[in-house]
Amino acid sequence: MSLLSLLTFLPPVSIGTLLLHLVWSDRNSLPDWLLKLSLGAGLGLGLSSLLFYLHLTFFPTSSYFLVLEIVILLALAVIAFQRGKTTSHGLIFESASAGFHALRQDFSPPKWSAEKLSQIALLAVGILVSAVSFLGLVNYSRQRAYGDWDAWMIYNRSARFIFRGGEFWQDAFSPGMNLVFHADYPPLLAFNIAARWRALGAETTFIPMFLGFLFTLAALGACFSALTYFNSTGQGAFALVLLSGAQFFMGEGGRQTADVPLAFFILASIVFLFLREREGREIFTALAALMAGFAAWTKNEGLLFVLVSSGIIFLTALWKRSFHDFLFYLAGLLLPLILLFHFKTQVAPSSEFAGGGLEVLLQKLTDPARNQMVFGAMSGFLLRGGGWYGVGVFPILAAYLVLFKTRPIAFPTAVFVSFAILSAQLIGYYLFYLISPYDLTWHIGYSLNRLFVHIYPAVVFVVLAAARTPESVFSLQVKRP
Amino acid sequence: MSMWKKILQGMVLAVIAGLGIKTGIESLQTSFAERSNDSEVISAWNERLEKLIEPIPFERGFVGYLSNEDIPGANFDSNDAEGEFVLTQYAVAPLILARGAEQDWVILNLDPETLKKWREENKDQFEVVRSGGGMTLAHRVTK
Repeated sequence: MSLLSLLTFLPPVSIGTLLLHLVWSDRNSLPDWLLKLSLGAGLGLGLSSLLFYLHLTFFPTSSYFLVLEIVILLALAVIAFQRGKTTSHGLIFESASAGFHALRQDFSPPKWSAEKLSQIALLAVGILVSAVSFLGLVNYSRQRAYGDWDAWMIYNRSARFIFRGGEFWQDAFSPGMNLVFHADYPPLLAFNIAARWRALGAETTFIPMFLGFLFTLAALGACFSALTYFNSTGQGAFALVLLSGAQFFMGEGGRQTADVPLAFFILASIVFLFLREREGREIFTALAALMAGFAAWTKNEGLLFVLVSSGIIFLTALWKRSFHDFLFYLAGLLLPLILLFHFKTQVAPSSEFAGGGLEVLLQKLTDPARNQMVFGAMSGFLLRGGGWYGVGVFPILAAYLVLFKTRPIAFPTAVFVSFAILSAQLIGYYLFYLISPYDLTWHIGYSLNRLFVHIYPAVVFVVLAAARTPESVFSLQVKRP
Repeated sequence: MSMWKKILQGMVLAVIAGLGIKTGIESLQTSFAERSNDSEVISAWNERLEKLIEPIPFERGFVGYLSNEDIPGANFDSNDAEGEFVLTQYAVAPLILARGAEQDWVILNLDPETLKKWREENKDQFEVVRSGGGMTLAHRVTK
């Protein structure tokens, strides 16, 4: 059952990877394919859940969703093959030869410079830390096959209703469901799990478990390969150390909750903004927006990400006096947001955050005791959380950026826009805590570290994208002042 | 870039790499040390409820749920009570649990003493259909 479960993820992951290849077919080295695979995995899973929602809406009892995915995959493969054939020797030959060329370059007898040695050493350390941390995650999941509390009571429960409910799948989001089950939460995980269960014709805990692993690996792969593409292999490997070596992030991957998938989509959206600046193609702005839309389709905090990212990109457009990119961003948001709007207004019950009325919300927002409590908790984690020996990982990254920043700073617009978006996201979390309908002490204790998980991979990526590479540090060339 | 800055940067990279390895190994050790029986508990609860709700003649709709928490004066632990409610909802899906005894079918998760008292008070309204694993399924008596 475990192998079959894994195989059910092949169509959506391949669809996402092929789609990315079709819009970015001029890059074909091995790291480029790893980047396409990592970003494509999330893209495919996001698209698959949207498609499954439409499938459920129009053909609720049909069991042909997997067939539909396979047909789409084959169609994309034919298009990619035809396109490859008209441009060169064919997609497979071209990709394979480019991959082998890259491999030959990477693994040909190296010139044993200090730079090369440092790159190999960092790559070894990055892979080692990732492998050991991932083993820990697998072992954690083995003992908790159903995932953590939130996973099985919210997402896996919804998936169970959809899988068992047939034409009455909407019962998963019934307003009659007790509030504790958060039936209003966005459905990306539940739809993905239910779609795979339908493909298998059985419920198995392997599906949500593998889904969690996939998003964790996709986040690691996207950060590694994007930094390899933008900067160097050593920089990508160092990102693996920072991500896999941060227990507060890696530990979440085995819990089957929506936090790591959301972190992946935020990271992917930011990576596409960098690709927009590097490649100069608007399609990457639309893909950044699509990933932001998937973030909103994954978790309510993702909707905040859509709002803050759209706002910052709009302000950037005002500053540049060009709304070209902003329009592409809106276009990319269209499909996921239309379906999310439909889901929120036609299927899901109203959110518990919306209750209380404006007066109560204003009262909570201006309550000094609540402000003090939230500020203390958030600044405490920001300064001391997730790091080593009492020093938080975020101050470490800030110090790292100061010590390693390039002059002039690389990708200035993307770096500025990304930091603005991620800072605004944190400010949004601060405001959400203030208006929280729950007991604030409990709510902060239960969720604080997970909020920082959402932005952590993106912060690591932006800091390292703007920083000097480890290879340059270990090169023996020294500029005299 | 001065040599001293490069040395400092090299040291920072080496220290972070070392700390990353340390955390990775510690995470693996922790995953072995922190044993959990969550899977067994959830699987057992699923099996128990699957048998209990067999007599319910419909596959979707609302089913009542009563625990000690809902009975005035009965003893309960709030964490356990919420956990058992959530476990029960997960197990009976796609039936939806509604707290209270307003539905025609009600799952009773009561301690023996409270159950006895509840049955006496409601003997004209509910009949016990099935019991097992510390839980009871009751059906409203049709007159």
